Amino acid sequence: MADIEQRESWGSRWGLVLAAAGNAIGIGNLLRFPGQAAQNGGGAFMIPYVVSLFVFGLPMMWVAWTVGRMGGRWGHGSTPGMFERLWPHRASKYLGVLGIVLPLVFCFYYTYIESWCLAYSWFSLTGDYASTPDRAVHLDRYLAEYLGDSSSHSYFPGYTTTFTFAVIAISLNVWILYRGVARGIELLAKIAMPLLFLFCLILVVRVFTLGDVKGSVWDGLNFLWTPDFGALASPTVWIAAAGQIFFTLSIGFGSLECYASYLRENDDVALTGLTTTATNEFVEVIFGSLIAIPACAVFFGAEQVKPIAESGTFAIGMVSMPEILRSLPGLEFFGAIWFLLLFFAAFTSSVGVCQPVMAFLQDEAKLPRGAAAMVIALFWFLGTIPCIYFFRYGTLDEMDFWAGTLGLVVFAIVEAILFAWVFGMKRGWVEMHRGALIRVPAVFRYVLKYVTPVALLAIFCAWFVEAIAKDKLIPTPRVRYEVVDLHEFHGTFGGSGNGESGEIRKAVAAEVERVERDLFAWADAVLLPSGSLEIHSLQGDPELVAVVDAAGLQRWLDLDGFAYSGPPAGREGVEEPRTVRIRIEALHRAPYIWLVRFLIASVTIAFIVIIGALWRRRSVEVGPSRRTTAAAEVAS
Amino acid sequence: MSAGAVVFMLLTMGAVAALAAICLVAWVRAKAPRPPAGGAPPEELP
Repeated sequence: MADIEQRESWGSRWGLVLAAAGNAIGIGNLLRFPGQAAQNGGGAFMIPYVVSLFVFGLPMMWVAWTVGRMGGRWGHGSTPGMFERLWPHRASKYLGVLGIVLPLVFCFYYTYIESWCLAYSWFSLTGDYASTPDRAVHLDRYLAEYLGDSSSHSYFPGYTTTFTFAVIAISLNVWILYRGVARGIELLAKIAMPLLFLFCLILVVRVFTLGDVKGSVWDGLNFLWTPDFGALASPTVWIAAAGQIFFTLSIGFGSLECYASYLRENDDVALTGLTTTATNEFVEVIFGSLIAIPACAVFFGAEQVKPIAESGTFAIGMVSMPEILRSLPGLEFFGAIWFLLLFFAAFTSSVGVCQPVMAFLQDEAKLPRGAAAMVIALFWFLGTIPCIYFFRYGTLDEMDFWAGTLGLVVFAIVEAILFAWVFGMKRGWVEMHRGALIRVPAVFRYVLKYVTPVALLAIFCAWFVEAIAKDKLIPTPRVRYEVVDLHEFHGTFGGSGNGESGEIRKAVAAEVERVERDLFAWADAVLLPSGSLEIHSLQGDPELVAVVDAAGLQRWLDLDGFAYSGPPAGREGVEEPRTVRIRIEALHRAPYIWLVRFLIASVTIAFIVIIGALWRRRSVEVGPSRRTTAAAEVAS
Repeated sequence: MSAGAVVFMLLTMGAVAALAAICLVAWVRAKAPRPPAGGAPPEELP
């Protein structure tokens, strides 16, 4: 009982709501949502989006808060203990390991992404990515070099800057966790969330006062919101909407459960869950659709918005937006605000997501707060290293696939079944309404019991099938070529490839798999004033050169339509032939992907062993009579 | 902007803003009694 009384609690109701909203609001609200909506039916995307929200988003939000508060009554801030209260069976605590491993692995890569935002806000302040006549900054290559995902080192000599910002981001997170719930997470939310709203407002005003350059903000809004009802017939659109709801609400991590565990027994969870959802949706739907896509429409024109939206979350945030911001006066201010906005959104999420691990170490392993923070810091640094140094092999995507995609649905399925079927809807409903400030509509009782588990299973199957279809489970080599000294050219190199070079790529990939190592080659080419490239020589790994010689590379470039397109007005073009160096790289991804899988499996097994040991130790300490009483209490 | 885009945008944003406003009002009006800090002892589940 003493342990239960010593648990922390939230300092204020508003602090809790802000912290929970901060947990849910992340980078995905501002970047992923507009991209997904634009690609999946525009305004019509909102139909499956709202359906998903009501079918499993909101119900699982209420379940998370209810399960968490219930676990907190028994001194559990993480899901092994919480699930045991839902299902008094020796296996239940092991199912709860998902609520520790998933947030921990998620934090490994998410904090790294967070550190990019922090770094870019610094680069904005210092004007580092502003192009000068002597130094052309291509923002896609700038990002690739920052991540170590490029053969050239025109902007970043190595990993020093990347590593430094990752260390800063991890240290900030650990520091907040060390300070505790009220003095750390809640205080951070009280500072960061108002700033986040303020930054959003400043940027919305700035975007709407840009005027017309190649388009208008209305073109962007038109593109984003024009309903394409035909898209609703596509299962992909429904799966995309369901995925967006999953990612945006931070359900399936055990973090909301952990936040709820610091509530008092009769504190409301029904209105808190609804408010968390509402605040998150407010930021996502309103601010998410009013900043990035309209800004892109203004600067790149309406016809360019679709390819930008399809280029992915980070291309919108880290390439297109800086491109716009550096074209405007006040890059230092608005650039810093944009990236600080993303950083704060990510920061409030990452501390929240990692809190269950902290709570597990404190509540179950009985570690003092400082020791728990040190253990987490150690895991965190070690787990982030593969993301930093092996990024080019797809390690970050691999972690995201298991911990941030499939794992979330598995966790949600387990929690939904335990709550609605094992613990029982009748008891669950009463528990949900203990101290409730609103009544949850009765229809959700049936939705939770029948519809939500089926919908979650359907999402899991769809994602798994998609992963098989896209060869995500079997790591294939990554084959590409790029111009090395890009900073010398103000124009861009690119292709209009129609996939005809696929056979060449496949041949290179097959060779990589045969020799089981990375293969590299370098070509000297001449860039002609017409923009086309002539390959003169090629040298490198003999195995690669045997598959693609100079003539083969020339054919590859021709099939891709790879050429130089003119620089922006006012800058010098290519008036006479120039030498260009091209690098081919074929990466053997399998060892690194399996390293990540081994890492995740090891962490999972380690926590399963720890849980088993802790529960055995507790069983010995409590003694048989107390165990019987506790089991009877739970069973009652 | 097309009429469909305007309708969808206003409907969605309006609904989201209304939901947020309802929650805000509910929080402001809520005067639920709170037990003293330190946490109450666990009760039996219903």
